[in-house]
Amino acid sequence: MKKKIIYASFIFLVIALVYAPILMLVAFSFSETRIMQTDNFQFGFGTWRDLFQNQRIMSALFNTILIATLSAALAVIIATFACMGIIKMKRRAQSATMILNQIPFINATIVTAFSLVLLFAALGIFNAGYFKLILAHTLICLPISVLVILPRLRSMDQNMFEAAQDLGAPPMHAMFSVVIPQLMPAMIAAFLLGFSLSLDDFIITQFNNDGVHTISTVVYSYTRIPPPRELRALGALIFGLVLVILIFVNIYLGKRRKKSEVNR
Amino acid sequence: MKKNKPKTRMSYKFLFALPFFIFMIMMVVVPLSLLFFYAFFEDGSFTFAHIQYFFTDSVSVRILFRSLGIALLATVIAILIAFPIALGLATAGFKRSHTILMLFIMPMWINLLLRSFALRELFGIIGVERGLFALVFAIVLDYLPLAIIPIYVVISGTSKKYIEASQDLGANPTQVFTKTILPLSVPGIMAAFLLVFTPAISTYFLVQYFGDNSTRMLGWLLFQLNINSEFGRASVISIALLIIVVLTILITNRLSKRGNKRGGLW
Repeated sequence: MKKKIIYASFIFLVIALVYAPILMLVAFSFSETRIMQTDNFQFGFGTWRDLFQNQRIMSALFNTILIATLSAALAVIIATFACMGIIKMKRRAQSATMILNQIPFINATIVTAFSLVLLFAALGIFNAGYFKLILAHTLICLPISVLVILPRLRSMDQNMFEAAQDLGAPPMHAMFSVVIPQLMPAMIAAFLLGFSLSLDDFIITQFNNDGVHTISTVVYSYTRIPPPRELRALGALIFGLVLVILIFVNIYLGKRRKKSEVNR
Repeated sequence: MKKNKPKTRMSYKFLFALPFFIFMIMMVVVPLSLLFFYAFFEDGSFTFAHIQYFFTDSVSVRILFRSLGIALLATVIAILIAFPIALGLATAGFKRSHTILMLFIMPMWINLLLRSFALRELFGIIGVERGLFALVFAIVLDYLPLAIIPIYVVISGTSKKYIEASQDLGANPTQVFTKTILPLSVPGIMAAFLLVFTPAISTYFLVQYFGDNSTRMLGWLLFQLNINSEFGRASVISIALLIIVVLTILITNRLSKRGNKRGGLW
C-alpha cells in the first residue's frame, strides 16, 4: 500500500510537470495582455479573436490538414498494394523489404529531411512547396502504414483472392470486393497513425517547405520576442481538440470493449 | 494441385509492390546515396576536403562530442523518470492505469512546436535561464512518452508473470527487482533509449529555443549549413548522424539480447 502511494505521488508529480506549460498556455489564452504576466491577468477573448483573424495561422492550419490527409491517404494506398505484393515474395526478399521500410523510421528525422533537400535540388525542383511536402509526408506515413496493414493481411485467408478469381471475378474486382473490405480496419488505423505523424512533423517540413507553412513551421517562424498573443490561443485550441477527440475515442473503445465482453 | 497453378497468376502479384519500391528508392535510397555523393564529390571530382574540414575546423568535432554528451544525459534522465512510472503503472495495481498512461501519451498529439513554445514561455515567467539545464529539461519533457511506452509494454506483458513467480518462490523485494524486473525490462529500456536518443541528438529547434552558445548540437550545425547551402559539409554531418544512429541500434540490440538471456537464466 505504501508502495502504491509512492508510485502515485511520483506519477502525479511528473504529470503535473508535463502539463504545466500547456495548461498555463490555456489559462493565458484568456488574458488579453501582449506578454504573459502572472501579476497582470486581464480576462478577455482578444487572443482568440486575433487567432481567427490571423490569415497566416489559418492558412497554415488548412495546409496542415490538407497535407496530412492527402499524404496519409496516398501512403495507405501505396502500402496496401505493397503488402499484397510483399506477402507473395520469398522470405529473404520480404525481410529485405522490411528493412528498407524501416529506414525512414529509424533514421534521424533531420537526416531524412536534409537528404530530401539534396534530392529535390538534384532533380531541379524548386518553389514547389505543396508537391514536395506531400511527397515527403507520404514518406513519413508509409512505413507505419505497411507495419499496420501487413500483419492484418497475413492473418487473412490467403486463398480468398484466388477463390474470387476462380469464381470468375476479374483481379481488380476481386480485390475491391473481397480483399479491401477485410483490410478496411487496418487501413483506417494506418491512415490515422500516418495522419497524426504528419501533423506532428516539423523538421522535414521546415527543410522542404519553400514558403508553404504548416502549424509547426508557422509557430517556429514567429521568432520575435514577445511572440504574438494569438499563439497562446492556438496552443489552447489544439490542446482542446486533442482532448475532445481522445475522450470520444476512449468512450467509443470502452463501449466496444464492453460489447465484446458481453458477446463472449 | 498447387503445382499445376498457372504460372502467369503467380508472376504479376509482386508487381503490386512496385509503386512502393519505386517510391522508396526515389525517396530513401537515392537521397541517402546523394549524401555520400555530396560528401565526397565536389564539381564532379573526388575529394576528402569536406571530411577533412569536419575533423580540423575544431568546432565540428567539439559539437559532435557535446551532442553525444547532451543526448546521452537527456536520454538517461528520461529513462530514469520513465522506468518507475512504467513499473508503477504495470505492477502497482492502479484502477485507472490505462487512463494514466493515456495522460502521458496525450501531449504527443499536441504539436511538438507548440509544446516547446509553451515550455519556453513558462521558463520565461519563472525565470529559468537558457542553457544546458533548460535544454535537457525540454528534451526529457518532450520525449518522455517515447521512453514510457516501450518499458511499460515489456513490463506489463511477459514479465508480470515472472515477477509473481519470483515472489512466490520467496525472493525478497530487492531480489525481485535486481534479478527479475530489471533484466526482463532491458529490451524495453533499450527500445526507449533508441527512441529518445535519436531525436535528442538531432534536434535543432530545441537548441534554438532553450540552448545557448555552449549547447550547440549536431542537428543545429546541420540546420545552419543547410541554410547556407553548404551541402558538402552538411552531408558529412548527416553521415556522422547516420553512423551514430546505426551504432546505437547495434549496441542497444546487443544489450537487449544479453538482457533477455540473463532474464531467462535467473
